[in-house]
Order: sequence, then structure tokens, then C-alpha cells
Amino acid sequence: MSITIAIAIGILVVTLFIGVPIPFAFFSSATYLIFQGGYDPSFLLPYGFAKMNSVVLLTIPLFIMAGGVMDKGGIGDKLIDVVDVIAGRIRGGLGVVCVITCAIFGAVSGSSSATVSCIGSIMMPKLKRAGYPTGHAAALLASSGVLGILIPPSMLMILYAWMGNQSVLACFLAAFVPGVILTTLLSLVNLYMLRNNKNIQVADHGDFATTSKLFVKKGAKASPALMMPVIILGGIYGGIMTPTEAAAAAVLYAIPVALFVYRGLKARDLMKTLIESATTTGVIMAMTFAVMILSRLYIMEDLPSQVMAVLTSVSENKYVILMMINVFMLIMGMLMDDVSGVLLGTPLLLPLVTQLGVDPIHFAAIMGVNLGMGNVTPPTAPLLYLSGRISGARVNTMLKPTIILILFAWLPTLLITTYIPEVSLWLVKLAMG
Amino acid sequence: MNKSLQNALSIPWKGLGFFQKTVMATTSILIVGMICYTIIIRYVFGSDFYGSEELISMLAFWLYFMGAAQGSREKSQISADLLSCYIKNARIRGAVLLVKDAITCAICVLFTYWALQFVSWALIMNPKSPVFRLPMLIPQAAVGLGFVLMSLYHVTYFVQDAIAFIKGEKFGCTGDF
Repeated sequence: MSITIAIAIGILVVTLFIGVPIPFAFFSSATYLIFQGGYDPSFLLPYGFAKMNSVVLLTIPLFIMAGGVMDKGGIGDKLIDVVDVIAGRIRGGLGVVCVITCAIFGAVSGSSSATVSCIGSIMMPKLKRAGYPTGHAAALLASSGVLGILIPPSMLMILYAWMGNQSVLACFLAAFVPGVILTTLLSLVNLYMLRNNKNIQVADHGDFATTSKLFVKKGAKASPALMMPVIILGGIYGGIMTPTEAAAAAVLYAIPVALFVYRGLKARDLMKTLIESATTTGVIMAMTFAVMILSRLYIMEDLPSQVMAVLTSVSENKYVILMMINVFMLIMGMLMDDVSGVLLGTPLLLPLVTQLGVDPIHFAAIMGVNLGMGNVTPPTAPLLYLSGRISGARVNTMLKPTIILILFAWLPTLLITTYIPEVSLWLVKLAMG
Repeated sequence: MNKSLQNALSIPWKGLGFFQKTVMATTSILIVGMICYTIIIRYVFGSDFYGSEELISMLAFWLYFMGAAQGSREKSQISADLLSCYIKNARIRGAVLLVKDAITCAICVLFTYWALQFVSWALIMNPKSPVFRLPMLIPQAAVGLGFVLMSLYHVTYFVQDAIAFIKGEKFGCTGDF
């Protein structure tokens, strides 16, 4: 690897490490390359501008808006209630409720941190009251929050598709099955970990008939919220709307649901919610703009080929190289949030894996699982800390359950997703031919 | 900071915040409205809103860059911030934060200069959009203004933090005058 590239990456790592905001850390690395490589900066800003002039990219702010409105609208409670009727009856079942609700809420909001904040603030008091160890509950919430990355519609998959010139629909479908596998494994590991914990109270909803009635009643209350992914995905897969149009329709649907059905959102708070969503959008778009410029410079410096040369010098075996790419992405996920990870990782790694013969749609799922795992892997683990803050759990109490969840839920999901391409691709082939 | 100076500065500071929030809320509503209108006229009237993407993209740039500026104003730009978690000594932590602020400011100001060059090129050449022949200065000005505002906020916070550091006060300002 050339010394220029090594220094540029070094600058990126150091600036990230000392806490420079991620867009400016990207710009710092780009600045070094501009001056060192003698590039004319006058072409870089127009390049970033032209790349961002994209209708697909508009899907991001619209999903953030829809998620923000639904979040403030108070759908979390309704979703939890309906899952609790079924899963709350067994020991550790409330943990399963947390996992499944996060998966569903992730589909509605498309954001991991929004999922952890919304579901965590409702579930944590319930879990604590039911006798769940706080560290365990917080670790489980952090891991479950990441499911929003994988369950469509996912903001991360939209970004990957946009960066890699892939189909948004195909990327959604590719991440779905790994998302279901992870949901199942997180639920099972949670049940196994709590099987002998006598402090945990189990909900009693009565006999089968009573439970069924309760399920129908709670399900009816949750149905307007559950309709949102149906509108989005149905609109896209039915060929009625483009992803951007579906996202706008979701906003238009979410506003009356939050205002008049769930009544969690007051009309005067709507503007505040729109401004908060626009700020989140701006923060993401600043990163996107910066990474457009940086990745352009990396490509002009031929970084993908240089990384490929380093990897093949260790081994030429496709599976070993894939393992190394996984480790690289995991470290990236530990260093930065999922959005930055996908923005930087896609232009760097997609050319490499394509050379290895990996389907770019399959790689979308690998990247989603990897960055999700990085987000809950200590020492950085932004979602783990967010969950700890919401639940009031000390980080040291979260470490053991986190490591168990990583080893027995995340790692198997990652290995299955990486080494069995059919897991990600069969649904894509089934739906899209 | 001098009390009267603080009061004098608070007016434009709040005015900027109001301007940004107004732009963010307005563009959000307009974008959603225009896309939904496109869907409605397609399915209800069997017609097409030709060139809608051009207008929506122009609004989007104002949403993106005013949002980015608001992120800097609220200090909500995403950062990894690992080092300060591990440094126990408040003075050393303060120094590291100051270095971080200085790097952020320097890079932001440099990119603001390049962004303004980009805008000035649009002023001179006056490129037009393909459908409605609208000046491309409209979205490009959002990039320029966004960077100017980000620089303003980062420089302000750097100065406030530097003063607090020198005085040995508690580090990390709220961001408000």
C-alpha cells in the first residue's frame, strides 16, 4: 500500500479517535490527499453536488420523517402489547417481546437508534418490573435495535443501493432473511440465558380463548402502525410507487395516524418533529457529501486495488479473503456508526468483492450484518451505550450478556450470511427473478 | 463574555436558528407534498408532473444543508469520540477536545472557502436547470450557505471552549449565547 494512502487512512483514524465529527474526519483525510496528490479541489465539490442530486437519496429524509412521526405518535406501546400477548407467557418471554417489537419497529422507523430509544423507553421499565437483570435487558435491547438495519425498509440498504448502483428492492430482500435469522437467534439465546432465573415473573393472559380475544383486540389497535411497512413495501413491490414515492406516502400516512389514531403527537409538536427529522437528515447528508468526495479521491488513488493486493498477499482463497473483509467491516462498525460505515465501506469494498465473484446484492446483506454487529461490539459500540443510557445499566453489567449474544446470535448469523449466499439471494430470486 | 455583547449577539444567533428551522420545516413539507401530488395526479388524473424531480431536488439541497448546519449548531454531528472516554484527567481531556475543535474548525473553514468558490462559479456562469430553466445557483447556494453556517458555529464553539479552557472553567459550552 502506498505511503500516501496509509497516511490518509491514518489521518482518518486519528481524527475519528479524538472525536472530530465524522464528516470533518472524512474531509481531513480528503484534504491531505488533495494537497499531497496535487488534486484540484474545484472539481470535488461539484462532484459531491452532482452525486447528491439524486431522487433515490431523497428516500432517506422521507423515511426519517415517517419514523420520527410514528415514534412520537406512540406506536411503540401498541406494538409491544400485541407481541406480549403471545410471547409474554413464557420465562424470558418479555425479552422475546423486546426482540420482536424492535424488529417490527425497525421496519417502521428504518433506524437503529430510534428503535433503541423508542422501544427501550417503553420496554425497560416493564423488563425491570418483571425481574430481568438490567444488564441483560440493556444488552438485548442494543442487539435488537440493530434489527432495523436488516428488516426492510432499511435506510442502510437504501444508502448501499444508491452508492453501489444496485436495486433498492433487491437489497431490502437480501437483508430480510438474515434479519429473521438474527431475530430468532437473539430470542432463543435470551430464553436459554434466562431459563433458570427464578426472579423473572411470567405474564398470565388466561386460557387459549382469552389469549386469542386479547390478541385480536391488541392486534386491531396496532394495525394502523403495522400498515405502514405494508404500504411502503406493498407500494414498492407492487410496482405502484418508486421507493421515494413510497417513503413520501408513508409520511403522509403517518401524520394522521400519529395525530388522530394514536394521539401521541400533538399538532403543535409536528413542526418540532419535522425539524428534528430534518436535522438528522442534515447530519447524515453532511457525512454523505464528505464521503462522496473522500471516496472519489480514494478511487483516484486506486485504493480498492491496493487493498485487494494486501488481502491476496495473505491468501488467495475467496473464503479467507471474505473473512478478512468481514473483520475489516467489523472494525469499521466498531469505529463509526452504521451510516458512516456503509457510506465509506461500499465504494471501497464493493469493487473488491465483485472481483472475488460475490454478488453485490449478497454483499448488501453481509455489510448490514457486519456493521450491525460492529455497532454493539465493545469497546466503542454506540448502540450499546445508548441502550445503557436509556436503561440506566452500567456498561460492565452489559458486557457478559453482550458477548454471549455476539457469540451465539450475531456470529452464526454473520457466518451463515457470508458463506451461504442462497440465504440472502433466494428471496431476491423468488421475488425478482 | 461581556453581558451587553452577549445580548447583542443573541439576536442574530436566534434569528439564524429561526431561519434554518423555517427552511427545514418548509422544504420538508413541500417535498412530501410535491411527491404525493405526483402520485395523485398519476393515478387519479392519469397525468404526469413533468420536471417535478428537478424542483424537488432543489428543495432537497436546502433541506440537507440547513439540516447539516443545524446539526453543527446543536452539536449533534455524529462523532466516535473514543479518546475523551478514556482520559480521566480533566485538563488533558479539555486539551484533546480543544485540538478536536481546532481541527474541525480549520477543515470546515477550508471547505467553506471551496464551497464559496463553487457558488461564485455558479454566479458567473449562471447554469440553468434542464426543464424549468431555473438558475442552478438556487441549490448550489444552499451548499455555500450550509458551509458558511457550519463554519460560524464551529468557530464560535471553538472560541467559547478555548476561553473556558484558559480560565480553567468546566469544559464544553451549551452552544447558546
